[in-house]
Amino acid sequence: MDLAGLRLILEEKHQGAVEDAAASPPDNDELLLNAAFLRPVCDTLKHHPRLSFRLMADLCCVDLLAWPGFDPATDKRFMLVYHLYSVAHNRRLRLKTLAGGDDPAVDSVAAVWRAADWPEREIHEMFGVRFNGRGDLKPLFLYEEFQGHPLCKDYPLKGQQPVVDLRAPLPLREDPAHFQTAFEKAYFRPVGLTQIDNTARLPESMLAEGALARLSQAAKAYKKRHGIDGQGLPGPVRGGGDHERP
Amino acid sequence: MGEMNFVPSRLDALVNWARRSSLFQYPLVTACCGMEYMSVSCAHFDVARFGAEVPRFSPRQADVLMIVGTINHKQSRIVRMVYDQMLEPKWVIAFGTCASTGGMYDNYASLPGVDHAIPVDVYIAGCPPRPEAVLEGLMALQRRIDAMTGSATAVVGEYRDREE
Amino acid sequence: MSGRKDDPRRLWSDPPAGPPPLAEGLKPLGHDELDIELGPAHPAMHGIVKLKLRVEGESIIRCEPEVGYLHRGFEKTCEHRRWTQCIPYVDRLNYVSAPVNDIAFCMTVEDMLGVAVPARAVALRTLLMEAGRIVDHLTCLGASAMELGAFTAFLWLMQAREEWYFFLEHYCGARITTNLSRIGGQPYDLFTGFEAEVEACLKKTEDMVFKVHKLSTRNRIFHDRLRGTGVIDADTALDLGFTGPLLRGSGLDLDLRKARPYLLYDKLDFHVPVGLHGDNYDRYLVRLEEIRQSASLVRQVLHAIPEGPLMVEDPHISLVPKTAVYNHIEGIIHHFKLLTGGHAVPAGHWYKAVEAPNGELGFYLVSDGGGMPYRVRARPPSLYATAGLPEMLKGQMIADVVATFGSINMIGGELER
Repeated sequence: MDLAGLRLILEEKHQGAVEDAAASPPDNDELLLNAAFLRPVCDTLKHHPRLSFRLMADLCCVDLLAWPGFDPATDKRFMLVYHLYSVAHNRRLRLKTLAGGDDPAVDSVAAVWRAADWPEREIHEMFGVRFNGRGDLKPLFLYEEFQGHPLCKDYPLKGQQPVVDLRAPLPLREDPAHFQTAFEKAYFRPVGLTQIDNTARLPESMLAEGALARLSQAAKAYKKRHGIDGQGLPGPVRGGGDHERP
Repeated sequence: MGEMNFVPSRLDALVNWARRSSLFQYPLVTACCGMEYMSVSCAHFDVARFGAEVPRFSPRQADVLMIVGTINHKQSRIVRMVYDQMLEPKWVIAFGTCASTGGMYDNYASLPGVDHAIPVDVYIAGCPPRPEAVLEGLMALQRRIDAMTGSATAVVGEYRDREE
Repeated sequence: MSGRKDDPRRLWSDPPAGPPPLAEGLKPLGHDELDIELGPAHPAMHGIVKLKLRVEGESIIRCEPEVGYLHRGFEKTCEHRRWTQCIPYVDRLNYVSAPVNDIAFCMTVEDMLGVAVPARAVALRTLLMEAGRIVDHLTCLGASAMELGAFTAFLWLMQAREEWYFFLEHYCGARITTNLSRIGGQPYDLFTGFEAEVEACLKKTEDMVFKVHKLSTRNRIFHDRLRGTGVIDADTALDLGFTGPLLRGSGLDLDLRKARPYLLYDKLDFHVPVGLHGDNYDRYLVRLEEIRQSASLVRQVLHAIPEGPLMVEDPHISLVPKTAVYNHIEGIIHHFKLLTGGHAVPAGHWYKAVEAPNGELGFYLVSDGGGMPYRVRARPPSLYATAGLPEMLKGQMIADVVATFGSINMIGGELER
């Protein structure tokens, strides 16, 4: 069944759920969903006999803050991507949905596919997106004292965290006062630690006055130049595909 | 220690020889270097020839703490706890570049070298280091142990005076 | 914690005074119950997973894995590297089968670029992927056998693995983290004696696997430890996101090499072993048989590698030869732009999955048109396997934890990236 047929089935049951579709067979067909319909659509996708997407291969999130043409005033910042696979029909599908605003949140699909449980915890700690309708969203990979959401685009790569102070002197084994032989005294040279100041800070351009307003204007200009209407989300690469077999 | 007489220094050498030839390792294996650790312990590269093939997974029974693989901030507490539980004399080998300096991971999560958490005796570079490099590092540790003074003759608590 | 309170080397605060609060939904301990934590510094937990168990005697009532002890920031780091520079990072995901990760990543980027890799490179990649699969299964079976006490099996399988490491070192220079594929094809060609060396590796592998099979498969202790432990049925496994030997051990034959073929798999002849009961013993048998099937695949490819170039002949994708770099201005320009700017992958996103030894390894890459990826996501089979561990350990005993955890082949680099 091709993507159009799939979309018809979904639209019969859930009016207005599918906002957009992009076909890129065989593996990269995708649907853009309205976030309010996420949970019912996923239920249908899993249980409808002609769809039967019983394997949720992956769930991940993309922060669109640095995406060309992203307008922080109007666009939603986080794109959640679900990769599904149907064993019965040997078919893949990608779902996209958006979350944004001050408290980005979507419905959890952990009740549909239990595989979604840990990825949702990971997305919450890495991006800050909340998932409604599930148990507690405990951090998965990060330690308790961690502050911030590291995979967001405005978190620096080398953010410093208050567990191990990297600027403290290294714990030494020998006390140099106890060295006796000339060999030891010559051999042991305490290496000075470079004072690296990598305390967590936002990139300058994000912090400056009016930065977001300038970003907004730049986004509008980009959209006008490229003729993009609406959000201009990442879509399947045009011309992409398995070129080894025609 | 002042001047060493012949017999005490020979006793020290005997104790040092015993220690360096029967190192019980604690391999705290986290990542890819663990594969090379397995290769070193197995038949072809055979760390048993050096007397160090016995992994003791209790820090109370181990001499050498081998930090094998990347250490991140979350694991640094664990590393410190394991190190503190070991009894003297103890040594630490940082196995691989991630354990020595953080390697290719320079970000919010990983520690730039396990020596920010515990003192290290021998650093073995490599990503992962070849088994021959690991054995060379082990031999370097053995030479260091051979050079220890006061192993047999020092009063307990005096020769390694660290506030612990 | 060591040291005095004012010791400047103290790194962390004191532990809390009372017991920690109970997790949400957890009842207080019953009469015979005990909360124990297995790991993370534990040999059977591979050093990086903490299992919080609530046990009654030896039976496990509740199990909760805590992970994150090897989180290395792979995804964030790749956003700051050029496409080719991501390949060593990708190596270190499932580090026991690095060739598979390299090739999968390169295939995904090539799909986005819309290039077809030459046939010789396709054949080499198939061979190397199967070599990676053999190495992974040898390591998994060896390590889990050792954790059960079968040290001889470990030594024998490691001996076979050593041969493959020598071969990989001869091919690409590195034993474990191989970095042996590039976007656009293969950078390294066959060497003199390639076929003989691969044949020697295969022979050693088959010998050792047969010896381990003779020693373990009908061994009473092995049977008692593995048969009936860590059971999971196919429906639950699929719901939990299991793929690979975990899913096939439960009876569902999903193998991406057959279902959605890539490289040369639709032209090669091989079987996919499927288990019946979904317990540790079936997964052990599935992996053992997969080694033999992979060996057969390697032989088929070995005798059918076509002649031809190894890299796509497009200077915007593969590096131009050094003679051109040193003698022609276009050569040096292409070289410079490719190395400093990175591949100009068209904007958009793409997902491609291969059948890694652990299951479905998918790469979801987002490009904004520049030389660095916008987002790199590796779909980690180990994440779903470890998340499903509590389900597999329901009603089991502490000794079964070791057997089950060894059989899911959790690789920390992939689980926590």
